[in-house]
Amino acid sequence: MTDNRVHPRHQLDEVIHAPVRLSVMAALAGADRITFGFLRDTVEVSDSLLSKHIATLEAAGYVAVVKGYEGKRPRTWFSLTDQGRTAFRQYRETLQLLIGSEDPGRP
Amino acid sequence: MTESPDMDPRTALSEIDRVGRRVRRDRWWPVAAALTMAAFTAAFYIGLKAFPGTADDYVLPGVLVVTAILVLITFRRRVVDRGDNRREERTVWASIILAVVTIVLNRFVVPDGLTPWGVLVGVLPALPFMVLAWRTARR
Repeated sequence: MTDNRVHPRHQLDEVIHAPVRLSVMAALAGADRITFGFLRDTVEVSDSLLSKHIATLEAAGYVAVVKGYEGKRPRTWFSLTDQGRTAFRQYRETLQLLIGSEDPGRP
Repeated sequence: MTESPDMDPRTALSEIDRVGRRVRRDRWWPVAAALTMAAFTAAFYIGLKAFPGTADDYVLPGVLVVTAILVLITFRRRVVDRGDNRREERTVWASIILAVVTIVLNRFVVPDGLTPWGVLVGVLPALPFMVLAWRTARR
């Protein structure tokens, strides 16, 4: 394989293209910010697994973490960075390309 | 859920849709907050004009109940949409401006007692909250 790989699957962002991280990115793309608890329940993973994947997305510059308090209760919010929104938009476009490249009429 | 490097594009897109729907469902809370504010604001201004003698007794308990409801909703709120703060701020300012209009009309134009005009003018400051609730629910 050379560097001239043109098939859309080569453009899939490996950071996003994992089930948990994909769900996290999809949830965050639909809002400005989301709490840790809501994200965990939506993605249906344990606290520790979510933290692990958030750390990966944070290291990639896709997710920002804000820790604070509401009243006396500690609360952690997550949001997508501009870089994360761009990456997710490109990821979706690549998925559409991949589906579009599948020709059902082909034998 | 585990890592799966060979995730099918259709599966990925359907998961994006599922999560998107789940996030949108949580918009019920800001809609509830906006409707609460609309109901209280309308009741306040209509009551003030229609029942000036008794409305005063209900203002403080009303404010306390509404504050408690809004605090509860704020704590329950787990998803904040983009631009929510800006929209809510604009809604409050619009309501304040319309409240001034209502006060002036109630003082100089609207007849005393429970009249259709009193109700219509009393609803004016609640309109921005109704619009906010409608727009949030529609997104």
